[in-house]
Amino acid sequence: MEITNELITELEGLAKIRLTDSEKEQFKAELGGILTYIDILNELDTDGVEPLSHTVKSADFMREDRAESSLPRETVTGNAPQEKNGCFDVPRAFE
Amino acid sequence: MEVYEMTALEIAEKIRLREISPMDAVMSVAKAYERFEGEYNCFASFNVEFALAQAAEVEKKLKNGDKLSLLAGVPFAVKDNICEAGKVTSCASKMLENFVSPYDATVIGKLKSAGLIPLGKTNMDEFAMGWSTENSIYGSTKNPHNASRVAGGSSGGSAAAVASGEAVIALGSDTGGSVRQPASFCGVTGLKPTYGAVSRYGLIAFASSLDAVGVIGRNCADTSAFFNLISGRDKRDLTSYDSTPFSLNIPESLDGYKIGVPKEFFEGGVDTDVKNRVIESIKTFEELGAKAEEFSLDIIKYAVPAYCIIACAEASSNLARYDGVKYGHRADGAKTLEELYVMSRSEGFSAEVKQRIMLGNFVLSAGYFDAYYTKALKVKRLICEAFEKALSEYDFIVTPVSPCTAFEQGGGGRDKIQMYLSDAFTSVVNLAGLPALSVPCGTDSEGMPVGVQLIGRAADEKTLLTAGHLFEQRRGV
Repeated sequence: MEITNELITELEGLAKIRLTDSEKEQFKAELGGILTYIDILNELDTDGVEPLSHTVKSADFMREDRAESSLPRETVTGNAPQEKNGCFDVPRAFE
Repeated sequence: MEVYEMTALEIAEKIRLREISPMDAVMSVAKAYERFEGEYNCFASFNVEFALAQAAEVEKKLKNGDKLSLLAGVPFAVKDNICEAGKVTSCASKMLENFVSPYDATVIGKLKSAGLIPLGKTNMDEFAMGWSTENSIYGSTKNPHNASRVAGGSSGGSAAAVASGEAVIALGSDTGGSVRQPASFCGVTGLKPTYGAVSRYGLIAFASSLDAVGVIGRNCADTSAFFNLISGRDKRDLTSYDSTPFSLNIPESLDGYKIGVPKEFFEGGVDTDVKNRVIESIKTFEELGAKAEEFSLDIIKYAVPAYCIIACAEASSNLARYDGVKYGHRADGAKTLEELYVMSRSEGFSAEVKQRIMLGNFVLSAGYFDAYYTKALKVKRLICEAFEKALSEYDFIVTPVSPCTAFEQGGGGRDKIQMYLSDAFTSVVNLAGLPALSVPCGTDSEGMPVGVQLIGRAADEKTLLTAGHLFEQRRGV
């Protein structure tokens, strides 16, 4: 499959990442190779096979619906790059 | 013999007999760190004062007659993607360089309650994505058997530390082989438990359906004792399950055990020395009384592409949380929220991490989701079924851990596809959710360690560790 600049730009948008020019070149070269390689899965007939998302033994335990304490607010905001009045301070979300 | 050269069980015994104190054990490991760290670079951080304070607490409890655990007083190293309260947990990434975890991972809490002492956060490949512990903000970790070679990855720091003496025993994580491969490269024991055996709460997520907290130790007895302290159901990780701690009631032989040897693992691509060491290992198991039989596991061929798709897809989702808002690296100068995300993530992640995130986004995107992600999940089911069938006949399966021994720093001339392919024997186990153990089984012609892999039934770590222990005894290790 051809890795076009348009595809890279689309993936950058999905990932919220901007690659440098040299990263783009490296990525194009490597991604092309990886995608060609993973096409080997098409050799396998998986008609009628249900996808399996995880191998848990069981996930059937629920806890009582009871409020429990969690981390204090100051602890949670303690690693925030910018904090204001106990909230995470960020640039404007909308123009 | 220095205390740091002893096994965890030996150190615990000396502490129980009051021959040494937990503080002595910490100071001995600190001595090893002074001696070897300059050469091997195993650690991202190493805080002796913290550990001495905890050791003093353990000493107080022991003097008080508190019954702690079989390994009370033993220091252990922690891979730097496992959260420890009050310490930086960086994942070897600029993104989390200054992130001080506000809580202990469940495994850390359990080990502290059992009287063990965390000492040192070990180096790793960034966000657990890598094969060599070279992709790290702390520089690369060197292999104690030959410092021009890699320690393996992504738990290379933990493996190298156990090998050099800078750690008695260590926690690692394994998503596609990241405990077993570095253990194999460094000549130590590595256990990847069954998916769900050990709580992942506090393990910084890479691929949530594949990640497992693992153990790297000097031998199977230590590894087994340590595993028993960390396993068990945790209400904070709904994929974890109840397990019964076991002791290694060592039988005299492996009489009655049946071992499966997939013929695919020996067909091309495996270094001759590795192949020979594994074949010799199978002979050792046979000398111990087991019956080995070759069988076909041809689904293996599809493990790496399925792993690549699933791991990258899940990583793209898990790493979406790193946005410069709540914690982690925030770029300067962003004018809008969108810019904040893009700039922080672009600056905070290395190229390897960015590549995997974007590959993950690709396989999950509209138009490609079914062709790649859904297809990979179907292959995952086929892999699970193939292993279930095989393990209904065999008590465990034996393979190489890696097709090669530790390569030169700088990739050893391997390209990206070759690196992914080196995960062939290990990643298939993560897809199947099974336990697997890497046991040192000799060296190649240049003295570099080789590991043999034992793959077991779900929740049957006991069989693997028993077989591994008997193997060690037979080999005189």
